[in-house]
Amino acid sequence: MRQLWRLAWRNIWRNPRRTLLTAASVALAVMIALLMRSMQEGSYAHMLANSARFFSGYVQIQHPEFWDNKSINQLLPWRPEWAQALREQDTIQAVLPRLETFMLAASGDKTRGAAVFGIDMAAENAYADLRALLRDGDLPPAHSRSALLGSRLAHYLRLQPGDELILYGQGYHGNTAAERVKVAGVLKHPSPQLDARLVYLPLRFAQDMLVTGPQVSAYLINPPYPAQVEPLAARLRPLAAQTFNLPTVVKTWQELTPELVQQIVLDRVSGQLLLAVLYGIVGFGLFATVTLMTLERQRELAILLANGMNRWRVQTLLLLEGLWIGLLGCALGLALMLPVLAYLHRHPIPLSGEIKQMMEELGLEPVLPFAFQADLICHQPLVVLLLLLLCLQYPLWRVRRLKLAEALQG
Amino acid sequence: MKLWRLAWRNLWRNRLRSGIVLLAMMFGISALLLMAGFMQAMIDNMVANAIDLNLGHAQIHRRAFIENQELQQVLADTPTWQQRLHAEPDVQAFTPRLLVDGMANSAASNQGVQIVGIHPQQEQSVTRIQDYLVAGAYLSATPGAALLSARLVDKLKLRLGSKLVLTFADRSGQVTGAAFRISGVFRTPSSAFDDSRVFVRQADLARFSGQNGAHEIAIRIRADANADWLARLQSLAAADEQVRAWGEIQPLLASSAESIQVSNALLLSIVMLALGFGITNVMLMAVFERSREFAVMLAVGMRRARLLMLILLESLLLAAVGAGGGLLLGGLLLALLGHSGISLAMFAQGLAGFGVSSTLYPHVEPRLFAEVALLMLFTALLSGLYPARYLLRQNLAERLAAR
Repeated sequence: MRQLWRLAWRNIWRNPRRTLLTAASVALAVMIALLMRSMQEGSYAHMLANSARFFSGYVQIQHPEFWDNKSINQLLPWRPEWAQALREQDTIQAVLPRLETFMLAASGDKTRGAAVFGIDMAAENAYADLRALLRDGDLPPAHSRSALLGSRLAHYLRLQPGDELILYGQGYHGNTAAERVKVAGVLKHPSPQLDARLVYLPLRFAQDMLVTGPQVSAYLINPPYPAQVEPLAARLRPLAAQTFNLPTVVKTWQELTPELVQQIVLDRVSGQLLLAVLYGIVGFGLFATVTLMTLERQRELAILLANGMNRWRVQTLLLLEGLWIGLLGCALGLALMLPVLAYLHRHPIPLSGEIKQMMEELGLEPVLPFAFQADLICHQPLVVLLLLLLCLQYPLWRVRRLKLAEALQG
Repeated sequence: MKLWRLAWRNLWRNRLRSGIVLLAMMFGISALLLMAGFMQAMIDNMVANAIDLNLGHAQIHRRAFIENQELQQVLADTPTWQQRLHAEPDVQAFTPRLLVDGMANSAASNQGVQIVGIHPQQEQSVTRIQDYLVAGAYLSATPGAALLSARLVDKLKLRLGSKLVLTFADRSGQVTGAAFRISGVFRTPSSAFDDSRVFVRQADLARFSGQNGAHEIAIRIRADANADWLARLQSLAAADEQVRAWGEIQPLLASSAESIQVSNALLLSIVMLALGFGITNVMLMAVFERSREFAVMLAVGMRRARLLMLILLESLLLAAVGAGGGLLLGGLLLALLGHSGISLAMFAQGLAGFGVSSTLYPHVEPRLFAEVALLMLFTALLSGLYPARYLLRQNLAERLAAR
């Protein structure tokens, strides 16, 4: 076998230009594929982290009917000591209570619909770094009756820290909720839609105002790494049922943001289609090389056979020649691309101009991040191998059907 | 020219080899056309939906309204605008709207919405919400009717015919609740649109809010309008009014429409690069095989420049045939799929997030065909250079002696 490997290696260098060209085209495909896939997966992780940080978290525990209509009447009891116990687990980074509803926010003669969130200011700030988004004032103290507003909402209502805002709406079980609220701070939320409607209140105050007692709409529970979401959710399901002794649902980000999931899948599929085309074209080149390498050596192969070499050994030789070229291409592509990816993974490309603005409007940090994942990297040589096996079918078949007498005559 | 014929014949001396490269080109180019067609369809659909559901081609607002959306900032003189727009030959239709920010309430839930007061007849000539009705009917002359999306109706746990309470602040700043009956339910391809709007008659909204008139006039322009329609409309506006085309109102949408150029360029360069390698490879093989033959040609007096020409011509002809076949195949597939449409129902929700329908009809601008053909020929020329250079550097006397 070692001999065959050596023979195959020598054979591919009988025409070094062809071998190098073919290997270079494989390397090119591997490099483009790696760059594109790691850019794609990097930006999905980026989008997901942002969505989890600013919107829905990775996992939520809710009343079973809450998700359908976001009603203030479908709540779960708030158990701070249970939340604290969860936080102390290794696989949980944050447990955030949310009490959310829609109210009218008014100041002077201006009114606007507002998305009101009662939150644990300290925990939320520790997780999402709200302070970094502050434009004016400060976070409301936990036991105050004051609010943090989205900058667009504050601008529309002409409110500044220290001013008063009136919230008006429906409370728990038909109670009317109406309160004067002091503005403690103004923050710029990355989502413009939410920024135009956002009111954050300390949880206790929101519970008083909406007459809910110690209840919340959802527990947001975030693991340190997105990969831990599924096991975490699986663990929380029986735990939540047991703790609350009520019907509950545990939803993961895939269920909380189905649009994000589908957009990611759609983008991933369209990227993979492009790569399929690229690998397809390179495959034709590979096919041309391995086929011609066989056809132009029919006489030589016939001599090998005539001298008593097994047909399958000849076929193995051809297989190994193809493998060498494929390996060479993969090695070249990986050697050139991996350092680049490793660098880009640590130093995401900062964006500028129109794209920067667009990303900021979408609530994303304006960088182009790159994933550096083993599965993405291993995937490419596998694709090349598969392609090679496909391309080798025809030459192998030709060897099987090689008629010795005719081929020997040349 | 004799050289052309020679090149053409040479191409077919090794059919397998030329055939593989031709197949690669046909595969690459037709796949490229399909992908470009698909992306074009997606972007066009997104833009068309935004225009057809809400934007129109242009809108008129008071500048102060754009700034802060205050209820009082209606257009100063809507009737005069109506007369002017009627007189404009480029304007196909227009519709004034009264916009109030508020909440939609039911016993089960409340949702923040924009309440849009429309003139049902006029609105239908600009937007196409009527095409997406899933229950009931569009707004009519009957007072107190509301039209909203199936998504909102579900969230509010209401049905067609249910009572819906809209709360908002009236002109004096008082919070008012007004009861409407759900007379129609729609489901458009855009979830953002569906989640955020309730349509009622302008007269009803004016009565409850105490504010008459219109904040916005949406305009549909004729397909054969003069190029300067926007400038003409803008010249009609008063100093405190602004006429904006859809791209200015939704810059994000406009820039994603422009981004198709970038993604097409990327697609083209990747495919061409890969094909270039294939062509170089095959031409190099052809040159290797025939070095003795070339040596003979030189020995009997052919000039090197003509030999170089011959190789480049072979490369060009190969690309021409491949590009022709690829464009033909791709064009055929595009025509077929453009007619039948591709259903992406499995991605419907994600697409709705972008405001894209789930059935798309791929198509490309005719210009792309020419671009692909030219680029393919250019790539072939470049790819032929390396084999040609290799040939000219050979010591041909030695080749001639070799057997």
